[in-house]
Amino acid sequence: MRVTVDKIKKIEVTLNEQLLYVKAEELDNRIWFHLNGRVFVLDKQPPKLSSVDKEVENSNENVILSPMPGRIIKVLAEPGLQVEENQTLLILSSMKMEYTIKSPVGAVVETVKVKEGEQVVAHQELVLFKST
Amino acid sequence: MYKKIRKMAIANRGEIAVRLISTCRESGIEPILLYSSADQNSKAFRMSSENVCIGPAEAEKSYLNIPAIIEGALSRRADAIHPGYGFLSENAELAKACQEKGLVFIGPPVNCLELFGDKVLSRKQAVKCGLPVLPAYTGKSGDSEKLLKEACKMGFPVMIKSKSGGGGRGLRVVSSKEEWQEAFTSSQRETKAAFGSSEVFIEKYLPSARHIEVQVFADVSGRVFHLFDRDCSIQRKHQKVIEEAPARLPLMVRQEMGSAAVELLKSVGYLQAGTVEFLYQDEKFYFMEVNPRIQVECPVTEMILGIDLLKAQILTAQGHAPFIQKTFEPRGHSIQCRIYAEDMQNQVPVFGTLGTCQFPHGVNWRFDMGYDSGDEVPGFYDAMMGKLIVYEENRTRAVEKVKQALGQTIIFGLKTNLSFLQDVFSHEDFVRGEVDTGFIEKVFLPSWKEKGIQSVNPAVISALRRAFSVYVDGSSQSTEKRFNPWAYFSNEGDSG
Repeated sequence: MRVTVDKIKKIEVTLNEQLLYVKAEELDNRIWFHLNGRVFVLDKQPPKLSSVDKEVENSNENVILSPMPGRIIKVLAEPGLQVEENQTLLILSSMKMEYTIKSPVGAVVETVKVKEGEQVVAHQELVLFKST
Repeated sequence: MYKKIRKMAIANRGEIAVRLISTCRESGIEPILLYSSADQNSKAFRMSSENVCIGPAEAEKSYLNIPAIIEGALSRRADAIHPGYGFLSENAELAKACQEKGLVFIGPPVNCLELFGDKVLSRKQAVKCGLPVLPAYTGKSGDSEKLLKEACKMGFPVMIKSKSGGGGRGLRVVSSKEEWQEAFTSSQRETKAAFGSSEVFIEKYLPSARHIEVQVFADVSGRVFHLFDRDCSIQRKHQKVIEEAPARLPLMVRQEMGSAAVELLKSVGYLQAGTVEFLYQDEKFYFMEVNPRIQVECPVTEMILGIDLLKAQILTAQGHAPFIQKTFEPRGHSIQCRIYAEDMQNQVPVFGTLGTCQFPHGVNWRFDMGYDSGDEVPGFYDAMMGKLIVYEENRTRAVEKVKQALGQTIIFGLKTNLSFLQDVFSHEDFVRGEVDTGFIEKVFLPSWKEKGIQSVNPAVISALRRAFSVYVDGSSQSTEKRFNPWAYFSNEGDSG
């Protein structure tokens, strides 16, 4: 037996003397809400620019994560390779469609963490760049 | 020759499985859902009273596994199998296996599946019936150099297509000689992965044509109904996103296209629902392919003609007449949009667990959804969650209605293409109806920016954070709540 309970909350916000109704729900520390016919998502905590956060941010620039589960069908990146922005690093096949994974930045490849034919899960590390 | 269907096995998932379950019930047939372990608790699973697990999550081992499907259907004494769309819906082997085991395959006869499954053979058949086609080279499918030479002769852009075709797989547009090699290798690879054979061919590509298709239905008496047309020009990565019926066509073109489609299917002794796809440009149309199955976009045709194509299929499979109407006249206008779990910024499908979803009812609009609140969208299959279909007296009103309905739609927990759809429906080119298959990628996306959180007034954002922080730290917030006008909330869901 499965019972689904709507966990949506209706929140009233007064803005410029106008009353708005926002439907919202908290899921995994994020707030999803519906406003003026659109759905938005918001981190529950306001972003803090502490040193730790910065480090995380920076390290994110140096790693390419798999956008979705799938299988690596082609590896074009190799350690030491200088890649330009938008250069293809890998080709991933997911649900029989191919997705090219491109470099968001110009950088030098440090390690390639996957091999051709390998199954990957979403958000798995694929390529690491040398930190600049 | 025809037998009564008492139980029907559904070899599919998502919204089409849900739809098939309700159509079965309406037709007095008991549905049996054949599901993979990833769909253990799907909406279709919960709706169906009989469920048989046919394998693990990977489609190859479940939804594409013919022996498992046949065994699953037989184990519950099914009389028939409906394959839905995608997966094995156009697969002649499944139809043959059904025949061997005395099961009714709800779809066209094996010979039609074999013919239309081969895009080169279908093209030849179309030419034989006098249908206009685009220049193509269909020989030496594996010879890159020869194909390139032919492409140069034809003039770029050309399209590389899979001989086994379908669902946009293997399709690559090549606009210059330089792009050839990469496109060819990748098309071959994708074709191989999707269809098991890497055979491809090339066809002249029309960059600003519209995609128009004709819905056809053949009954057991040999009569082939022309069920009018759909415009499916709004595509991304060769996948349809928005479909409309009827297509805007000059009367003459509609008649010619319709009779061409009917003639083609008559010539092969067709049975059941089928779609003949055309490209249309400068008042000329060119045959592309036949989809010998029901399609994702069938509902827009159902809306303008007031029919149920799945029920028609089930009736036909039992030897009955599919429709009561003898002639068909389209009325009004219908629009469908496909709702995907998708991160539009990064252009990738997303998977995971849904939060609350609200798909409100309205007059002449319906949601065909494969998921409810709290459901898991598994990462093994297409990320289409379902679709919204509207009907109105004319196109202008239909566009207004679809925007209204989307504005009331809530999907929390996973990113979707809802905003994208809303903005397409508001785009002036779309509103005017001046769009071709290049619209999304060439016109719309380059200037589109998803309305992100940045566009929300900061006061709303802090109000939301405050409202939800009450739960995290009740003691410190409880006093604030009393004074804070933002923090008021009720637990009532919406009546929708």
